[in-house]
Formats: sequence, C-alpha cells, structure tokens
Amino acid sequence: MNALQYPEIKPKKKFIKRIYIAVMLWVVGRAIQAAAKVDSEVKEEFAKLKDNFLLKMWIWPNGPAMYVGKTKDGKVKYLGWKDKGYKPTLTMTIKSVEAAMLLFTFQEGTAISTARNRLVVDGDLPDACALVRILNIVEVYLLPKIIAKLAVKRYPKWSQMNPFRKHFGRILIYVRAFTF
Amino acid sequence: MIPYNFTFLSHPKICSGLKALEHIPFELESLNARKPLVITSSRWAKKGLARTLTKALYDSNITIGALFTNAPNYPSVTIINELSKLYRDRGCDSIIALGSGGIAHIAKAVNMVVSLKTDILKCTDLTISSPLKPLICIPTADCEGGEMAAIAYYECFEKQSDFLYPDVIVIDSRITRHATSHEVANCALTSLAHAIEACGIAAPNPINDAYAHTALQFIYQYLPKTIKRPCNKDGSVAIVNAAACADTAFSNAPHGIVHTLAQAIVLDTNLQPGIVMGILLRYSLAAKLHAKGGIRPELLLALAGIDTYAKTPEKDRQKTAYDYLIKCIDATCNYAPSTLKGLNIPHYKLKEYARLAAAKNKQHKETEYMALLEKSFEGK
Repeated sequence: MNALQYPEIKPKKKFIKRIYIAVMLWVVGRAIQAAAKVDSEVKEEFAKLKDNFLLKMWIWPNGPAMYVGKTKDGKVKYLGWKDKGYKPTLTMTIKSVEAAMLLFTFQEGTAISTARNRLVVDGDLPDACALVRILNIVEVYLLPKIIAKLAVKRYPKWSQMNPFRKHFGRILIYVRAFTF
Repeated sequence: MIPYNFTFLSHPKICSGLKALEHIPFELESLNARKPLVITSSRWAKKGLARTLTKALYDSNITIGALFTNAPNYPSVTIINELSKLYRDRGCDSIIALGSGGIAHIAKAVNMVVSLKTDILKCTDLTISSPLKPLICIPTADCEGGEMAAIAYYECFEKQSDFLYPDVIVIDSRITRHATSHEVANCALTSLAHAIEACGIAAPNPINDAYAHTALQFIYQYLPKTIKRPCNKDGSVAIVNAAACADTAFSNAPHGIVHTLAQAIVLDTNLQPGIVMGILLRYSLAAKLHAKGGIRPELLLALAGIDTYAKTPEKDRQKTAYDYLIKCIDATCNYAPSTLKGLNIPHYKLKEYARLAAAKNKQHKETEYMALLEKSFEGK
C-alpha cells in the first residue's frame, strides 16, 4: 500500500460564516445592552441575576465570542468579543460554526437548538433560562415578525407586547445599539 | 409485568439528523482525540461522501491523519494489517468508519489491533478488558447488520465484546441517501430480523424491547417510501436509525434461528444477509404463529400504534401483528425472492447449512434448523 496516496488533511476555515456570526454576536450583544435600558421586562430579568453576572457566548473551538455582563453599578454592558481575563458565570457554547449558522440565520430557535444538542451551557440553570428569555425578547425587537416567529418558541401576543411598545422599543434599541 | 432480572448495555451515543456530521469534532475532542484515521470505500469517495465529511471537520482542531478511500467490502487480514500500520505511522488516535458493511468491520478490527497492540489473528482468542480507541461510525443505508453492534466480523472470525460498540454513531441524510433500493431492502430486512429475534426471546428484556420496537416502527413507517425513493432524506435516516436500534437490541439478546442460519448461508454463498434473513423470517414467523407461545402481541403495538392495538380483539392480535410483519417483508418483493430456491441455492446444501448452524448456536437442534430451511426452500 502506498501511504502517500492517503494524505493527511488539515481543516480549513469557514471565513465568511465566521464573519457573519461575529457580526450577529456583536449586534445581539449591543442589542441586549440597549434592551436592558429600554424594556422593563429585560430590566427585571437582569435585576434578578447575580451582581457579578457575566455571560460568555461563543462558538467552539476557536470563537468568535461575545461577553455581556453587569457592571458594579448594576448596568448591563456589552464587553466585546475579546477575552480580557473575564471569569464568566454563565458560558453558552455553540458546538460548531454550522450550529451557530442555524441559530443566527433563524432556521432554528434557541429552544430547538438546545433540544438538538447544539448548545452546551456551563453555569446556573436559572441564569441560563433567564438569558434565553432575554434573547427571545431581544429577537422580537430586532427582527420582523415573520422571521422572529422562527427564532422564538412563542411569539408574544398583542396583550403581552402591544404594537406601540414593540415598534417604539425597536426604534430605541436600534438607535442605542448602533450609536452609543 | 416488568421482569427484574436482566442486563442491558448500549454504549454508543447516537447523533442523528440535520448537520449531525458537524457534531464529530466536538465528540472527538470529548473523547480526547484529535487525529482520526478515516476509512471509506472508493464508491463512497466517488459519491463525494469523503469530501462532505472533510468539510464537516472545517473550523475545528481535528486533523485527518489519513483518508483511506480504498477499503474493500471484505475485512481481510491483509487490509487490517495495512491500515493498522498506516494508523501507527501517522500517529492517529481514533478511527472514523465512513460507510457500512465491511468498512465498519475493518474499522473495528483495526481498532482492536492498534488498541491491544497485537496481531489480528491473536485478537480472536484475547479477552478485551478495557476500552479501545475512540471509534466513530457514520453508516450509509447499505447496512448488513452488526456494524453498530458489539460484534466484529473479519476473515472467517466473529468477535463479540462490550467494548466493540462504536463510541459515536452519526446518522446524517447527506451520507445515508446514496444507497440503492436493493441495499435499503437488505438493510431493512436485516434490521427487521434482528429486532424481531431480539424481542422474541423467552425472557424478554423491557429496555431491549424498547429498542426493538423503535426499529420495527421506523421500518414499518418508512420502508415502502424509502424503497421507492432511496434518496428520500427522512426515509433513509429512519432506516439507518432502525438499523442502529436493531443492532443494539441484537447485541443484548442471544442469536436467533434466522440470524444463525442466514450467517451459515451467507458464509458459503456470499449473498446479502438481509435478503436471506427476509426469506427465513417469513417462514419462521409463520411457524411461530402456529406454535405454542405464538408471536408476542406487543409487536402489533409497536407496528400499528395504540389505536389499532386497542381496537383489535386480544385473540386476533398475534395474527394481525403477523400480517403487519409480512406486509413489511412484502414491501421488498421486487428485490428479494420469497424462497431460497429463488436465490439458486441447491437443495443438497441445506443439510450442510443446518449442521453449520447447529454447531454455532446450540440453542436449537439441527432438525429445527433443517425444518425451517425446508419450508423456506419451496415456500410451503
């Protein structure tokens, strides 16, 4: 047998997909920060979390990543994508770039993704559940109804989120997320 | 009533469905492996399966030690030794079997050689007492039975050990949809025979029943449409899932009369085991229906669902279950004859097969094997 016929194969990179995911993580991170100021429900969810709460959401094994945490004065802040020696209290690991693509192109919601074993959570379960609820609210604000319906488990009814709150909140979150 | 005295082991983790191949890097790292040897055949490589697998490993820390694309369907000692050498030369730490049948058995045999650090012929007499190197099985829909079970066939040997289960089974429609209708029929019939024999034993094991019933359910629901269109994504994945469940059930039950006889015939004739099992199963079920114990009525629940089971009077459940099972076998009628005579097996060989089977599996007498062979030969 000629062993040279059967080469060693090094894995290549999926640059375009990684860039897309990195942008989506940045947008979601900034939107969480903005939603914590704009939406009372998100504010309440964050208030219930520990003071040193720090979320790391990343794609296994080489990133990209997103850090969101609470500051000393209790504000929610997007801390960027670089690990600056943070000690996350909640780590959400997405198992592969393809799994992240399914999640961030809204082909699968967070609940379905977890059920299909594409997400690994390291940290307190109540914190993880709270974060999933926050992500759902942020997605409802960020996305048009037709897409958000795919991404969340249950799209909020009129009585849960009236159109005024939704559209006004959407404008504020977009403005805050992309300006300051 | 649940019988309390049983043992059951199912080692493999099954990753099935959309983008299941992309789970492999994570699963390999969790098994502490980073450099797998990939074994596949030239047929699957030409169909682009090797490329699909390579792409699924992109953006990970996994380097493919060697992509061997010339695996034959017969696990001979020569190929096992050559692949073991390739594994060692490249410093691999795990094995991925991309394909079913011989490919999976070659991978298991290579795993025994490299893990036990001995010759393959010596492995036959050795007792495996510790876990082997990580083995990932990516089956195609041409399973011949035993690929995902705790058993390895190589040359004319058969090795059974709890450590021979693959660690991970990855079932993805990008891999399963390339088989032909004939291969799907063979796979389904093997799984059907294994599942029925696993839950037809004297002291049934409830967990084993759960696996066997799942296999039967998948086969009954998906076999007709998958035989018509083997490229059907859901159907092909369901048939391979059925094979995985049936193999697990088969590993936890004693070998039945159909499996033992089929093995004896296949060793001599090189026919596809599923086709032979399909023929034998038809007459074995008919004999069982008229025997004292009969067919287990729970099979009807697995095949037809709770509504039909509840509607059917208790005394008719065995016969209805039998009809459903024959319907499953009949779905493959274009690819499998209904008698052994249709396979061009000479009548004088039957005695030899019965003797071989009786020597291998002493649970049944030679006369019982012969009776089933006679019935299956003419279809009486």
